[in-house]
Amino acid sequence: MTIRNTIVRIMLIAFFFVSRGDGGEDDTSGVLPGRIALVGAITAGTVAAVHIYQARAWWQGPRAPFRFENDWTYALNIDKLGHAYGAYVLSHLFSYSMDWSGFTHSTSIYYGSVMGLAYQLYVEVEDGFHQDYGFSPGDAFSDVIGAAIPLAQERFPVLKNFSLKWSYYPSTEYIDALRGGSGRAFIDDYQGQTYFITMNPHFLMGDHPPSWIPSWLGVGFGLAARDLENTQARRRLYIFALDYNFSRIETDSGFLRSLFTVLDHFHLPAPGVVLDGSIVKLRLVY
Amino acid sequence: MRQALLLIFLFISALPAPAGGTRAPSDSAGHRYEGLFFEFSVVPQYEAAPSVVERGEIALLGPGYAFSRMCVVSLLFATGSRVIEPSATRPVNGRFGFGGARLEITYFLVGKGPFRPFCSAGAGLYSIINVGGFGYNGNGVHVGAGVGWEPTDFFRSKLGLEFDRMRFYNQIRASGGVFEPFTLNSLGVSLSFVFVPGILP
Repeated sequence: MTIRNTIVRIMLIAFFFVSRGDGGEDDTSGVLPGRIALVGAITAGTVAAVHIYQARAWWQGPRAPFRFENDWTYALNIDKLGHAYGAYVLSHLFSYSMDWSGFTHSTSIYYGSVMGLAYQLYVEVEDGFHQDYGFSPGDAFSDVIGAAIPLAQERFPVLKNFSLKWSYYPSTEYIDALRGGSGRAFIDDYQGQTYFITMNPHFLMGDHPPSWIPSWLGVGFGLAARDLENTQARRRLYIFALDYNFSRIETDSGFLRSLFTVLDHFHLPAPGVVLDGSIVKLRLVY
Repeated sequence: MRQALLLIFLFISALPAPAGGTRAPSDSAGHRYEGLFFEFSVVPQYEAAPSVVERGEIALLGPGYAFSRMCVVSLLFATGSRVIEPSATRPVNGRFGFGGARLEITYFLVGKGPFRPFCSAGAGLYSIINVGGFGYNGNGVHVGAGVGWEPTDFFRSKLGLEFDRMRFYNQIRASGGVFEPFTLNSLGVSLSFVFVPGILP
């Protein structure tokens, strides 16, 4: 390991240590050790499994000295949205796990974001050692923004009316690549992915929103890309679509509440309008 | 140089968080100044020296941790571009993309009031790569000073003057020419925006 590699790793470890917080208040009184052990084991197993998957999908080629490399034109920035979304979802996942384990809500939110960001940066550092990639500062920017969103939502609750969501339908190029025996990973299939910022419209309507608008109905603005492998034809698509806020459906079932929380990280098919260059397409399902 | 960088990183990683923490004067509504924050900066940089003329623009974004109202540490990721006068660097020169990461410690000289002067120091790793994939890896040190403005507990901005000394010591990809290590000394004006969630365990 070179001195440069050592420094890179120390930078990350240093940040992790200084982000521990001083734990000024005792927030461990309600902690459930059995659940912590379960969450810890599942997290460790998942991280290991994802690392193996990523090592096979991305990091098979030769390693190289660590370096930074900008990739601001890659995939028309859909990958940047993917990084922000990944950090956002991971932060939520860690937060929910800690909430379930009995930590206070602020502790869960705080460490959820720290762990979500730490994992995303670990992936980026691994990219930095790979000859074909390099550490992308743009990806790191997106990771930081995605991990900051849950903290911002906690500080300014009005932001909870907005969410990041993802939808995916495999692109023709990806399916062709699979048929051709390529080991391509679906998370690199940026032509099949759409990232949405969704909004709960009720918060704009004061204390008494119209009863004809269901509480679970939302709206979303999405971004997608097509023909990325053709430098002349590559383009962005802009999507305005209806959306579902499942968490606003009232239920006494803990299982359904958990299911709704998970579903609210995805944009499920709904009517929408797609702007594809100068062409406007009405879609009953997007 | 490398040992010095290593020592700085180890020192910062070993800094203990204060036991009780220091609260901001306006800290009465449950907001605490310590903890995680997020910082974004833009910095145009320029250097004119007998051996090299170069300019660049960089943007930095990253998380940080406030130990107190006075002392904060940031890990900033950098992206931007750099134009180096032909012949100043060998074997490749001209326009490069710039990327890097910097660990920076900032100390505010005043603890109260909306305007607070600060000084900062840090160290980082950097790469510059041109469109052909050729470029250099390096590291460097950073010092800066300026004034911060804090209209609320959740937001501050900073305006500062900063100096970066970067030493590029190897090629990222062999280009066939003879490589000569070189140093850039850039002066820049930084404008930063900081979001402080104020959420602590």
